Amino acid sequence: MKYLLYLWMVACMACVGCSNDHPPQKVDLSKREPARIVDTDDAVTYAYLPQYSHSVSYERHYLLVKYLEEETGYRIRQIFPDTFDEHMRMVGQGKVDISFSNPYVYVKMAHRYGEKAFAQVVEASGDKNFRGEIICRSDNTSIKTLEDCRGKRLIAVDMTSAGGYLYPMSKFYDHNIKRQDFSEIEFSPGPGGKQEKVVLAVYAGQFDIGLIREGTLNVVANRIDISKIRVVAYSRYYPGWVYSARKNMNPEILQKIKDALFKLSPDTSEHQMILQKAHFLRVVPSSDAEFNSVRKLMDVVGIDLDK
Amino acid sequence: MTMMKPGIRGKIYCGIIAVVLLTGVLIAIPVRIMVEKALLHESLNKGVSMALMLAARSQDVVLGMDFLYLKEMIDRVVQSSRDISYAFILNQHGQVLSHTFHNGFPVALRTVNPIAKGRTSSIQYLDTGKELIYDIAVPIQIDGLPIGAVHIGLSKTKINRTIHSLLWTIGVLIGCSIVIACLAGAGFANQVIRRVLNLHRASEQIMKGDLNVVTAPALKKHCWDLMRCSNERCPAYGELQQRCWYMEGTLCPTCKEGEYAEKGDVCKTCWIYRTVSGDEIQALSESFEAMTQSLKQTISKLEDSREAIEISEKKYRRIFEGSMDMVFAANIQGAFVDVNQTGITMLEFSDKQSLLTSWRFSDIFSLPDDFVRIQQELISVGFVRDREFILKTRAGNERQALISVSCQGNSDGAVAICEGIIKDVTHRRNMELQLLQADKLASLGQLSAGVAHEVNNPLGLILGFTQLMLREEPEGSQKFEDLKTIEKHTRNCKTVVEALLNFARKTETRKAHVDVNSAIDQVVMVVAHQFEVSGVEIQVQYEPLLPRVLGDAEKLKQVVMNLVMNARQAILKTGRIAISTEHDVRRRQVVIRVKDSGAGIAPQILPRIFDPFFTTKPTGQGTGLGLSVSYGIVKEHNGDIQVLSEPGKGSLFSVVLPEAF
Repeated sequence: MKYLLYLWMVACMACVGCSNDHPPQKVDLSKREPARIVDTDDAVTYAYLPQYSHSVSYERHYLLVKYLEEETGYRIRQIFPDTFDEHMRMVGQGKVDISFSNPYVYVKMAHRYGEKAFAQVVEASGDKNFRGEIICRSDNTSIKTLEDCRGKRLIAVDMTSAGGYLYPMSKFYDHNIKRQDFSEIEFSPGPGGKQEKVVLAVYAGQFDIGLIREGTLNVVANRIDISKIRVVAYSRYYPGWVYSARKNMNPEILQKIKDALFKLSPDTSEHQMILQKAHFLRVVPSSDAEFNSVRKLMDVVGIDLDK
Repeated sequence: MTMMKPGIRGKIYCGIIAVVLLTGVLIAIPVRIMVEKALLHESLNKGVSMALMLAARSQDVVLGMDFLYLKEMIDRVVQSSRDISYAFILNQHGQVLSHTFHNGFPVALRTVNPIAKGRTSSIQYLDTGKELIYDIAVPIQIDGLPIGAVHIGLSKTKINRTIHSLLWTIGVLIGCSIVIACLAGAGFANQVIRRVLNLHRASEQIMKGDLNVVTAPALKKHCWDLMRCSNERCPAYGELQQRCWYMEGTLCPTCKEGEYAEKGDVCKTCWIYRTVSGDEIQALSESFEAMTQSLKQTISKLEDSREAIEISEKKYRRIFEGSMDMVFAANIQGAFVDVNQTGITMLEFSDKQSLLTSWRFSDIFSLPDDFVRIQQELISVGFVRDREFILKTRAGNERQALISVSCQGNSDGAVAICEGIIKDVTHRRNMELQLLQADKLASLGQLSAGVAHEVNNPLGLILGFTQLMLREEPEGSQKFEDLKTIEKHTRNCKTVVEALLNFARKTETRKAHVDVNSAIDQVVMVVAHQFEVSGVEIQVQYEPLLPRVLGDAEKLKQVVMNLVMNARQAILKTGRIAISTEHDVRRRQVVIRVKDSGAGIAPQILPRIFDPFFTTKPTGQGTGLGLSVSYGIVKEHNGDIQVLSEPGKGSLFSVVLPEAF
């Protein structure tokens, strides 16, 4: 009995001893202020076409934005449009000074708002061009060739996506398979993460085939077992992502930004992390003329640049 | 006013209340502490989780600066739990992006809980004056780079209310437990008390001597029913009150033979036992009843045994006390524990108590060597049988005795008590000696008679021819003197031969009724004068009514003469010789006693005094035939001759002759 009492006392003391209550800090909640965000309109705005989520976009480009700030001496603010349309709209509204977009969107923005391409990125493949992929589930035995895709349910990234719609769709057109030959065409819901959502939709069996840009499977490799996804066909290579500037942008600022971007080299240790995060090897000069092939392709597919 | 002692019921109530209350308190205190800690910990964890989730979900929203969506998100968080008082989100510059406060954002909260670099959360305990709050801050990070922070205010005051409500619940539960325990205890107590009272009444009944008690209720399940047994010879069959495992001689195949002590352990493994045995009090009642029955039987057996023991005790006491030999018991210390009446008499004690208290086993041995020898044998062998020794009485008298003793050991093997018998064989030994003497003398008599008969005839011829030759020789001649010498010595030889023949009873005896007193008188008249001259007084005391004996008067006178002459020779200078006669009416015997005050006879030569030619006198002064001739004459008259002598005090010779019919 005596030992039981001792045990109880020790348990109580242990419980009390383990308590980590500190005396509370006095705070006065009576003094209030309205919520107010500091105005940042004087900054150069930088937007990355939201093919992925905002956080992925931020993660990929925040080092680059910081680098540009340091190199040019200007305040540069990354902004995050929710959709491709919003991106284009913001460009049209002059809210985006530097746009990093795919060629499809660029062609549209150039056509509509006079956006000027000045650089292209060289991706991990070592080429500044890229291609699209037509994917299905590995265990889908009904799809072996492109012909088998007729009558199937299709999901693409966006009507405005180059790698996730335009380029792989051109592959179907090369084989005389038109949009109306599919039983259903759906686009990935937004905002953000649209490429990944296509893969996930096919993986879940919601759609038979999906259209994505090359490299997307690696992005989702840590979320799903990508061995369950099979690539049915690749498109031809077309121009890749492009840096463009607002029509009326200060040439001096633009030049400094160009210089800074072209200066990025994978051989420079300080730039390696920036480029690795941004998922490209370097930035090379480019011009609007390099995107004529895309314009032609859009015409073939029947895309109206004004819509 | 005296306080009533609490009964079992009261004690059970008090005990239950005390135990439940104490247990409740003992549990409630640490439980309160632990619950408070666990709840707080859980709430903080929950708050941190919610903040982390909000931070994760708000990454894109913060980047997209979607304030409406942010507001919806934090409002939903605050509404999701009543413990959360507020939530707000700061951007990387510490500016408030969204909050749940009305009438503006409290300035103090913006900086009250900064998140240290590298930390995934920060908790700050705040006192707003109205309530206690844990401010939980979690950074909104992308690739390890903070782009803002989520703050959630967790109300400690509301958590405390939950804890108090829990403690109230515990208190109510303890109260309910006490009530339920008391009700259960009452039922239990009633059962226990009723059964204990039954046992108490039964024990009082037993103390009054009535062993016919019933403490256990009648059995509801019976072994023969359960076993489907129909063996009517089994004592358990049909038994309605007693359990089979308490009964001896049950015939169940699984049963072990014997009483409960032998079979109990086996029975406890039997499925019948497991099926029908009750709780501890039931078992106690049944065993109490079985014990009573067993006690009853044991008492009955004991009474029978006691009677048998009493009979046996009387029998052996009779044998013990009536034994003609000394029977005794002595302990290991050598003290007598018990001695029979013969022993008391033999050792010359007046009563048993004085013998037991003053006389020890070692005291009965006249020779210490005898005791040591017997003691050693008892130690080594454990018994002695018919060992002869000289017994010493309390008065110092010695007796020849045979002892047989055996010792019994206790459970340790050590000697505990010795019991034995001592037989007085003094008389028997004397008889044996006398028989031996008689036998020896008879042999000697036969030998002597043969020799005497062979020698007597030649002696007669020598004497006759010597006398014939003397007639022819003139007196005074050398030849005449030589023949006279031959005649003289031949006559001496003839005298000796005749004495031997008398000893061997080979001489002619003419028996007639003899007046012993008169015969003695004639001898005394012959020697009285000579004795008086030499200073020896003769005293005569006759039995006036002495009957006559059948015998040869001359030979009897010769016996008396021999005894008187021996007495005279035993007195060195002056002394007294007492001669008396006595009539032993019971044995119809005439006793002649000759007692002297002489030197006495040494004990070692006493057995040899009747041997022919045995003498203590110098060579030439005696033939050594006097007592042996007397012995022969007395035996011829169917009598006996005995001697008692003590060196220095004299001797007493007794001649016993049968009276004439």
